Amino acid sequence: MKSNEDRDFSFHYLIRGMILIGFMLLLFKLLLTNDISLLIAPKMVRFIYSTLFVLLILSVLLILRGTSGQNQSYHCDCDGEHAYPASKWKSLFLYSLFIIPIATGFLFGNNVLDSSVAMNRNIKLGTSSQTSANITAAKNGTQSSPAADSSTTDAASNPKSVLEDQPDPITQSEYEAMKDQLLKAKTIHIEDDQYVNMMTIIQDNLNSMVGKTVTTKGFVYREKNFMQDEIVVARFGITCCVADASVYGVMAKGNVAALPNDQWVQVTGTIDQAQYNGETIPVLNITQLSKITAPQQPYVFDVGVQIY
Amino acid sequence: MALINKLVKDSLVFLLFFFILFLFFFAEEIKNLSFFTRIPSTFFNVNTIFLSIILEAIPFILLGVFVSAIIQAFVSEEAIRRILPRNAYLALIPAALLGIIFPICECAIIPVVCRLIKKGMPSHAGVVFMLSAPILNPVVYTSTYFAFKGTPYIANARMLIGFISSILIGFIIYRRFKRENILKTKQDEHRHHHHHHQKGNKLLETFYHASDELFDTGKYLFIGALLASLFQAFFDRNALLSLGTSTTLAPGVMMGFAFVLSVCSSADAFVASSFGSTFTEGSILAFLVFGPMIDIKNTLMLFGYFKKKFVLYLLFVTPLVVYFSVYIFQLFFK
Repeated sequence: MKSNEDRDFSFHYLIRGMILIGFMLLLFKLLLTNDISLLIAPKMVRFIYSTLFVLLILSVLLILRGTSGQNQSYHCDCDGEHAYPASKWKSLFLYSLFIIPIATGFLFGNNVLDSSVAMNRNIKLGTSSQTSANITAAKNGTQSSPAADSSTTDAASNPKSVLEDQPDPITQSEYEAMKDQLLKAKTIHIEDDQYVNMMTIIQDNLNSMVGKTVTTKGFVYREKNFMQDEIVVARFGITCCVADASVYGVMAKGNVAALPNDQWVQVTGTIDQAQYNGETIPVLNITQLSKITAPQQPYVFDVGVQIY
Repeated sequence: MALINKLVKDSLVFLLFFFILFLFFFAEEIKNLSFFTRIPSTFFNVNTIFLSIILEAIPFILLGVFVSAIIQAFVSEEAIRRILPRNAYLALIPAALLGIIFPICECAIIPVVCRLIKKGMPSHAGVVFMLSAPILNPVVYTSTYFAFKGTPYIANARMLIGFISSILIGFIIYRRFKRENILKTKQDEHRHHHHHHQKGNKLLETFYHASDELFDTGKYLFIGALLASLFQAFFDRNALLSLGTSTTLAPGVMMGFAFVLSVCSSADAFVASSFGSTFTEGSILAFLVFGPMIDIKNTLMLFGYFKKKFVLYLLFVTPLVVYFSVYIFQLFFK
């Protein structure tokens, strides 16, 4: 004759404690293998460290609470808002909701977005909100996984790179300095860690950029109305997490018809400008193209510019 | 009978523990099973986006539940009453500006606001705080400014429209609900606590409270993140482009888009900027203002904390007010 008040919650405490341990181990593993950088931006990783710590405390407390044998609740006047599932099925549903993502996280946490996702997004080929060239993405394209052998890249030997991938936001003056430098330079190598800024500068100052030699890398991606000799050398740019990924890239022209989508390439070419869907965008006339393995960090991160 | 029951439950707990350990150590081996190569790649994309939303939100949910638990344990009701102006309409303005001091994003804010309302903050002021804090805060301003470097007034306009529409919504909510209780009250049966008023450890209490609330909020977060990641993976954004040029239709379209995307308010400006010139500025602003206020993820959380009647009302009023504010803005600044 158990009344509801005396229900035994220790089972819930224990299961919840285990779920939190599961999350903690998942975060721990993602940090160890550096796969965390395939899910969220490095600037968010420090929050994961503190989460790990808090989850550890909470799970230990929950397990202690579940094994202590005292079921009486702590004093709090929160008016019974903490509902524990009343039936077996509700419990099953509630806890599966947490356990299944832990399992898929362990198994498939290192998946990399491919061009099938890029197709559903807008791609920035021109830039600045006033003059950006938004073009309609195509429905074609293969769905191979670009990161199949990412472990063979040289960067793989550097597990510490997770926090160094994303420097602090640069200041406005550093941004201006970079702009001056790019305007003066004859050849430009687009670095991963300043990818978005450098692309923005090139696109914003297209007239003074024409004729310069640019080297960039990215995966091959095509729009529906592209000619045989046209590709986009694209990157996913991430601000906070993969959910806000946008596609960045530069159009390249050359003998590229044989390249499959999602193939990683390094392209060197001279900048020209072209009209595309009514916008002026930069185009690389390819002088040199090599296939490369997917970098260990396939995403680029929007480091931003400080405005104060 | 009770003994067997307990045995089953204990073994379930151990089973779960070993399952997790097994995954931790042998995930790579399991993954290589041929079974998994037959799963279509879209599943992995959905899973990746889902996990990233969760991983991004969990630290802030934890922050939210801890702030809420701390308010519960340490802030008195008198203190809250003393701070806010007595006049119901006057209270709207400080509530809308609270986000500048407490830059809390939309995941963390709901438990906090809920707790504040329980502690005696007027409901409408709480709602205004809840709607405005994810927009009117320095972090969001900076990221918007950067994402729209070419047109810096977008960031200012976002703040302005966010401020005005949250106050308008607060005003309407006050007219409709006055001092009515908008929070969910669980079944009237007597609750499991209240009996043992042990003058226990306040710190321990805070932790217990936070862990309970983590699971309460977490289930809505997980369902919301799942829905949002499905939309992210399957919804073709280019379908929107043809609708983007109409000044009357586009803001509505972009509000719907913001709702299904559920991107964090400090990052949504970059998503919006990828639409750039094809969409009217009004519709970009509608996206930037409505998204942080209401999206799939926090709608589910709202249903968890507030009465259904209130949430439905809010879901009805908010888009109308945002649309209206953006429309007026377009008239004056175009």
